[in-house]
Amino acid sequence: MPHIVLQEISKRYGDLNVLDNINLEIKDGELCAIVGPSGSGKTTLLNIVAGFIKPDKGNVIVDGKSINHLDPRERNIGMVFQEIGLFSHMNVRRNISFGLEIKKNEKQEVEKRVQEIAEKLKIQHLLDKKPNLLSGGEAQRVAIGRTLITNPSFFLLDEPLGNLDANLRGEMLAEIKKLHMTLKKTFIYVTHDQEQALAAADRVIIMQDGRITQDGPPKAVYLNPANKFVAEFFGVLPMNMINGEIVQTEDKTLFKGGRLTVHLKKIKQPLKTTQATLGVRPENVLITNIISEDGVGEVTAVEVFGDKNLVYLDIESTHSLVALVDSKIRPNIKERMKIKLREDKTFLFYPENGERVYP
Amino acid sequence: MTNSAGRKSLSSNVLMILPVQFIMLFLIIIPTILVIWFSVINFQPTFGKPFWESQFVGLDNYAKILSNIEFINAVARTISVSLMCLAVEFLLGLVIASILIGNIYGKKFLFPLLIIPLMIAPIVIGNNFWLMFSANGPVNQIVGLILNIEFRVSWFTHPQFALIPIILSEIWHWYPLTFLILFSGFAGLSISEIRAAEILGASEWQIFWRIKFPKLKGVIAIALVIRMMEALKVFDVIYLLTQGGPGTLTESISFYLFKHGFTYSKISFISAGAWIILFICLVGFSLALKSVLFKER
Repeated sequence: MPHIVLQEISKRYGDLNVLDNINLEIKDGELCAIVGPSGSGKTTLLNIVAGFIKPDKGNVIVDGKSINHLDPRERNIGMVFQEIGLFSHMNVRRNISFGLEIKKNEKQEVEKRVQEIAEKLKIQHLLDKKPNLLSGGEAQRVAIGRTLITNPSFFLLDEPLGNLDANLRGEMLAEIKKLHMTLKKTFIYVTHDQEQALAAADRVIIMQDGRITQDGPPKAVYLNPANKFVAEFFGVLPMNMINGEIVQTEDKTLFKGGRLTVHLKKIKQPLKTTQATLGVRPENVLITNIISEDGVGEVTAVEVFGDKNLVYLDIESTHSLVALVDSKIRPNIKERMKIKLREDKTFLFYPENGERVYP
Repeated sequence: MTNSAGRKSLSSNVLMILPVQFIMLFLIIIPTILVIWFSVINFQPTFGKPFWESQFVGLDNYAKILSNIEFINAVARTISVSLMCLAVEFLLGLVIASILIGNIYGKKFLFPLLIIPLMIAPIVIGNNFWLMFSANGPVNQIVGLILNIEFRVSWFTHPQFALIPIILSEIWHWYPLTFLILFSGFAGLSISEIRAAEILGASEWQIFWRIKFPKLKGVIAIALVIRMMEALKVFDVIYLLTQGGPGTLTESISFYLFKHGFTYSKISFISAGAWIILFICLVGFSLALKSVLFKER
């Protein structure tokens, strides 16, 4: 099984630095998601691994050998495209068998393989249909089946669920995960949707402006974001970001933003900045009755979110503070609530470049 | 509400297109009826009788023109020359389109340069080719230089070679059409499909024959039909270069009809010829298109 190493990959288009010195190692059998907003370079990176784009600099190494000089057709990769790209003039059977047919395999053997794959993906009933008669989910299955037939050494998926509607997405995601488990091969998949990444991947690589900002298991990235960008981007509910200032007194460091005053107990040395952005996830904002609160907010809206409630609190800052609380807590509009932030789950970022200051 | 409004606008729609239909009446319908009429009477302006007083002769004109060996030769010549031009233009267009569809250097410069011939008036092209192929022209000189002999062919009066300048000028004039149509066909192909085939291991050749060609069949058929229609009408270059000569060896259908109609005033005779050509074209093109375009649907 292959071990994929990307070494110092760079790519420029004119003045635009699409990829800037990417170093990455992907282990055998990993299900690895590359996540980032549009224009972060993730699809370019995938196309470099596939061989459709030549990097300006750097190496793609598979099993210790550089494959830079190989054409896509020589790399033995399975790839699923965002636009799916089934051969529209062929029926499903011929779409799936294409990869073997062009290598002049025996007809019976090709047919046997097609049947095997169709069974595995539960698309036997579709074999004689033309692609334009398939639903989005069916087309995606056929596209996966088409790549399976050549028995590729690893798989690249470019926004595989981008064209599907929300409830199909979950189903296909589970399907991909299952496929990954049974094939035990390396899957690299690109998505701009961090929810997909959170749900399926063993590992997420977050890209921003052609660089890797963070790399790790989804849970770790969620709990410990490297900078403000990751904190805001990664997570179903966006992280609260409150701009404010740092007030240093003799024995303690305080963050003041709007009606919030947070005592940052873990800070021993004085910080180098006076301005900072405080980040805290909605589930770490508590609405309490204890006296040592961090501030008071006026309730502006309450929304139901699953079995919990989302409470929007006006704290006289640029943004309201959002708290994810138990459904039993259902404050009235305009009610003033005491707020407490979980201190160990609170982050401080530099407002200019988003770098993390604290903890 | 919408129904009544729809009905009202229907009558105003008819009113709107009426003037154009009226023009069409004079441009197409009346001439067509006249040509049918001419083809079944014995009318020549030189007889001094108006056509409505001319004698009805039934299919006599058709029989006459079909037994005229010069006409049959002109038809066969036009079709074979057209097919030859078509084949070369198609291949040329295909090669240039597949080169230019890639990211090659100088594409922005080459593209307009390559479609210039299409924008030049046929009379200019005819004159250019006349200059190039004249006895003292550059073609003879260059061939002479390359072969290092005294080379002097009078192309336009040579019984075997007279068609060559005509064919070459036709190809040069019209290859941009097939090139443009094929280029737009290539540009419309889905990149994911081509990439999918590539990553499955298909060679360039296999991608062309198994993916691009089947998907472009319709576009190719249309390109060929448009060009064939144009080729069958070939007239200007022949008029300029050879006047159909030597003898009648380079006469095309159009030139033949022109000569017999406008020089010999045999209006009824060429009207019958025109209908025969129309019939051949209708049958030929509908069979060609049917076999390619509508087969799979």
